[in-house]
Parts: sequence; structure tokens; C-alpha cells
Amino acid sequence: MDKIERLINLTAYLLESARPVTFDRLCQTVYAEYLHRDEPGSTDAAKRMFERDRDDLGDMGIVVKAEKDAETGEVSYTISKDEYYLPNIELEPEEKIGIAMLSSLFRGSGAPFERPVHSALLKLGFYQDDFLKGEGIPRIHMVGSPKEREALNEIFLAIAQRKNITFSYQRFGSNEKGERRVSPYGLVYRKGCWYLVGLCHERGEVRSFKVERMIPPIKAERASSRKPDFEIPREFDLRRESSWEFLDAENTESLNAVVRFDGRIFPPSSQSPFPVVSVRGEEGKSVVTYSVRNTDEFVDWILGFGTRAQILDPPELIELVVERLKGIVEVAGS
Amino acid sequence: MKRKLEERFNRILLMVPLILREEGASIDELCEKLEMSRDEIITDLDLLFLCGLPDYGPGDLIDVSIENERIFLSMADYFSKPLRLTENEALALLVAGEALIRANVLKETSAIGKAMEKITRVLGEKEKQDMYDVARRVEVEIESEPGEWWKGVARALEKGMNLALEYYSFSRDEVTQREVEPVSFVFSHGNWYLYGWCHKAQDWRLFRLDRIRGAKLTKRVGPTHADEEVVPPVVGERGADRTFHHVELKLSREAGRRVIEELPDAKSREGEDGKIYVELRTQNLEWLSIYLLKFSGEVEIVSPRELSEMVKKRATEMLEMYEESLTQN
Repeated sequence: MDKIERLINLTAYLLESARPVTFDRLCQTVYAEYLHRDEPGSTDAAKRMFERDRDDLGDMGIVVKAEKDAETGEVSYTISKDEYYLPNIELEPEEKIGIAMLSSLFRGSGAPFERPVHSALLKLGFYQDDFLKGEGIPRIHMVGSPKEREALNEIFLAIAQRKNITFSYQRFGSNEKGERRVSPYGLVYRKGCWYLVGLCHERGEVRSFKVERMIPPIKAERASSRKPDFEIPREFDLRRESSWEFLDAENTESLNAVVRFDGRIFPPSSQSPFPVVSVRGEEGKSVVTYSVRNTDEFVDWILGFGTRAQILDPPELIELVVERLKGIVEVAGS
Repeated sequence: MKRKLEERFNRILLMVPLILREEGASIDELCEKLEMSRDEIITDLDLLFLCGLPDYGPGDLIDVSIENERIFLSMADYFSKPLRLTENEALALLVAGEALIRANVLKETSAIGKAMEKITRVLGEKEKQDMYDVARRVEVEIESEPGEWWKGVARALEKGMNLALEYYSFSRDEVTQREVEPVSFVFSHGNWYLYGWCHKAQDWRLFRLDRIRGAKLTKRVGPTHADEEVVPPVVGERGADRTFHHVELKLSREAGRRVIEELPDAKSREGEDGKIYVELRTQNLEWLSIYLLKFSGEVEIVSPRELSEMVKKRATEMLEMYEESLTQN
């Protein structure tokens, strides 16, 4: 019998049975084909199998309760209908539309919660005419990176269960690949990319890894054990750990860079990849001061605005820009 | 339990209640709803056919039949209602919901918050706490300045009306007027876009919301395009004119790797000279010329000539701008 078949039968039996079921009875039914009466230890093996199944069901929120008979001391098992069935959660029309949008937003994006969100909504919609199909749900999509879906699913699970993972990782700007062992603390999606933040065992410090550069398979260590592999330090703060401008950048001293933008294109500070220190208007233009650590990335970004953004200060950044521009004129199309 | 097995088990426990009604369920509808192929559904039905209650005689097993493309199930009343949300599902809802609430761009934001509250109310206190603890460590940043026209666009979508847009094109540095049939909101690489049929271009276009300078609702005349295409194929600054340009670049190893990473549809090979040769197709040379600026002396544009001239011109203009300010000071 397939494991999944056995789990379905076990769930059906314990859910349907009016009275709790003893292990003996389970041996005669669900586990009958695994028992070989003449083999010593066969019952013990079946018992271990049952306990594993019980744990597996528990992982899905199906609680198999054990009850001890006060007189005989015999243990029997049951699944409470109240605990198994999803209760009807009454949602207002606007609330239904709101959460239906969640599914629409992440569908096809490769986000690690794309599928579970969808199945959750199918369940919630069961009592209320399937509100996923309802009219008036605005179409809304996130364009992600579906090819990272499998890796992200593994990482998401490892974060939830606090399991160490191992993978090989390609460093930025080099051909080298290295094996990494990481305690995954958190996951960040920023500007089209996913980053894993966790304790890197090779370096002994919290670091970020771009998921795109993680080479599958991503293996969870001791996946069969239910105990978490690590505790997350109390002081860990995802926002702080992932707040530096480019997650790949090395930490160095920051400097203030002043840029003048054409009024029309000044990017709102929430979208700026560099922290904004101050903004002032000047003859229809905006002069913005940024705090910059990675000067190369900053210059890249400013060059992308063409003549509509000009670095005013500090001189070393201007030099860097001028040097780059001269390089372009020389090489492009030579 | 292994993740794949858990997913399949959970899916079966959801599939049964969806079929288990007098009128059964259409196979096509089920495929769409559960995002499964026909074969996958049939495989699961074959499995269900073997399951049931003790003593597993013909009268105890789940009965499955297919008539006129509809599936019927009986003898499975114990699975007539769905299983409560699994931890993974509740967590996923929470993380996705929190992201959308934080983004604070939709008028439904507060409704999503209320729905989340109702859904998590059925969880145990400890369960809920654990889940919020994980949710705090998964962050999807989908906030961006959507601009002031978001509401107008949302209203047009809701009412099925067109929009007369005043739109600032970044790559061309000009404001244009165009009529657009809005289809959806799209979030990509840190920005929100309106996706729709542009009457001016007679094609699908993406409009970054923070670059909309004006939006008026207008009546839709003629046939709608909304059902043709929902998810945009490419998001980015590309897609400005209808002709495709074939571009060939020669880059240093480092720059080559960056281009490949940032433009996933580019083709690349390593030359004997150690350089990276990249080929790509773009509809928007303007955009590409800006993009290539950041590679400075590390990129040589093999073709087209038009592009290398564009890049040169742009770089020269910028140099002049800096030199002018240096002499002024």
C-alpha cells in the first residue's frame, strides 16, 4: 500500500469511527498488511509506523488524540471532527475580494507561498460559493521568478521549521562556487530578487544570499527530525539585517552624495535604493542627498538617469563618473 | 512528512469535498481550480478508488465514477468538508496578507486586515504566535510610491472604463497623451504598473504608476481587449516600439556576468579571448543605451551601429554637463 493511501485510510477511519479505536484494531485494519504474525517484532514495527504516520498527520494539523481507558488502561485513538473540519469563517464581501486578490497577486510569481495561498482560499471559499471566481476582483499580478519556486519552497519550509540547510553558492563577480551551511533566519523580496538571510556557518556571522545564485538542490539537514536545529538570537531583526543599500555590498564607511535631478524624474525616497538624507527644491529641480556605501553601485544608478541627474558632490564621485563616461566614449563602438 | 507528499495529501483532502456533491464536478473546472492537469486528477482518483473504511470491501471503499466529463464520488462523507488550514497555508496567507497590507496601495487594505484577523482567530494562541513569529521573518517589499493616479486607475478598472492618460516616458523624456484600456495592476522589480491596451500604439503596454501625470475616465467604445491577455509577458523599460533590434555586445567577464544576470533572455557565450559575447533582442534601443552606460569601458557594442552611436552621444552629453559645471566652479 502506498503511504498516501495508508494516511487516507487512517484519517478516514479515525474521523468516521464513533468511538476511539485501539491500536489492536488498527493492526487488524489499516496496518493489517504490514503485520506478519510469526515474525517477532512485527507489531513493534507497525507501532513505530503508526507513530510516524501520527506525526505526519500532525504536521498537517490533523491531530490524532490518544485516550486512555480509566479501567482497562488501554489506549485508543481518535480524530475530533470539530478539530478536523474547517469552520465556516464568515467574511464580508469586501473582505472576500481583498483576500481573493492575494491569490491573484502571487499566482505564477514563484513566491514560496503562491500555492498554499491558493489552496487556503479554495478552502475558505468552500462554504461561500467559491469567491475566487467572483466578479469585481481587481486583476493584480506580481512578476517574479518562477524558476526559483522550488528553491524558495525549500527555504520557506526550512525557515518555518528552523532547519539548517546546505547548498552551493556562486559568489557575485566570480566563477567560484562554494558549499554553504546556513541556519536560515529570514527571507526578503526586494526589487525583483529574493534574499535568504541567515547564519553562515563557514563565516560564523549573519549574511545574505541571493536566491538566484544558490544552486539547487537545497538540502535540509536532518529533515526527518521534528526538532528545530537552531534558535534565532533574540536581537535578530530582519529589517536591520537587510537594510543596507545593496544586500551584496560589503560594509564600508558611508559618504554623503548630493545629486541634482530634473524636477520631473526625482525618484520618491521609498523607491530609492540608497537612504535619502535630505531633499530640497532649487529652480524647479530637486537636490537630494544620499547616504552611500557602495560608490560603484551608486554611480551605476545615477548614470541610468542620463543628463537628467547630476552628481554635485563629493568631488571623488564626480571624478568616478567622468572617468566612466570617458571610458564609454572611448570603447563603445570602437 | 516530505513536502511533496504533504502537498498531494492536502490536495486530495480538498479535492474530495469539491467533488462530493450531487452534481459532481466537471473535470475541466477542477483542473483549473486546483491548478492540476487532467492526468494528475485521474491519478488521484485512481488512488481514492482504493481507499475507504474497514473492512475495505466493495461497500466500504470510496466510489468514483466519470460520466460526460463530470466526476462523481460517493461513500466518502467523512471527507465532505475541507480540512482546516494547514500551518503552511495559514502562514502563507499571513505573509502574503501582511505584504499587501504594508504596501498600502489598495483600497481593500483594511478589509484584508479584517479578513486576516477572522481567519487567524480560529488558530490556537500558541500556533498564532509561532506563525506571526515566522511571518515577521519573511518580508515581501511591494511598497512603492504609486503616485496620485492610482485611485483613478482603480476606478476605471472597476467600472470597465478607458483612461485618457498623460504619461511621462522615461526613456524618451517626453509626456504623451494616449487612450488606454486598463486590464490589471502589475508589480515588478519594485514598481507598480498599469497594464493595458494602448490605442495609440495599438498594442499591450505597461505604464509605471508613478509616471502617470494625468488620468481621466472615458467611455469605452468598441470591443474590449481585456479577455485576450492578462499577464504581461515582459516587464521593464523595454517595449517602446514595434520593431525588434538584434543587439550584439562584447563584454569583460565581470560585466558579461552582470548582463546575463540582469537580462535573463540574453544569449551568451565565452570567446577564446576570454570575453563574453552577448546577443539579445530589444524593442527599445533608448532604454538599452541608458542601461549600458553603467558598464563604462567594459562593453563594446558590436552591433547595431545605431546603438553605439546612441550610447556615445549620451555619454558625450553627460560629459559636457559635468565639464561645464567644473569650469563654472
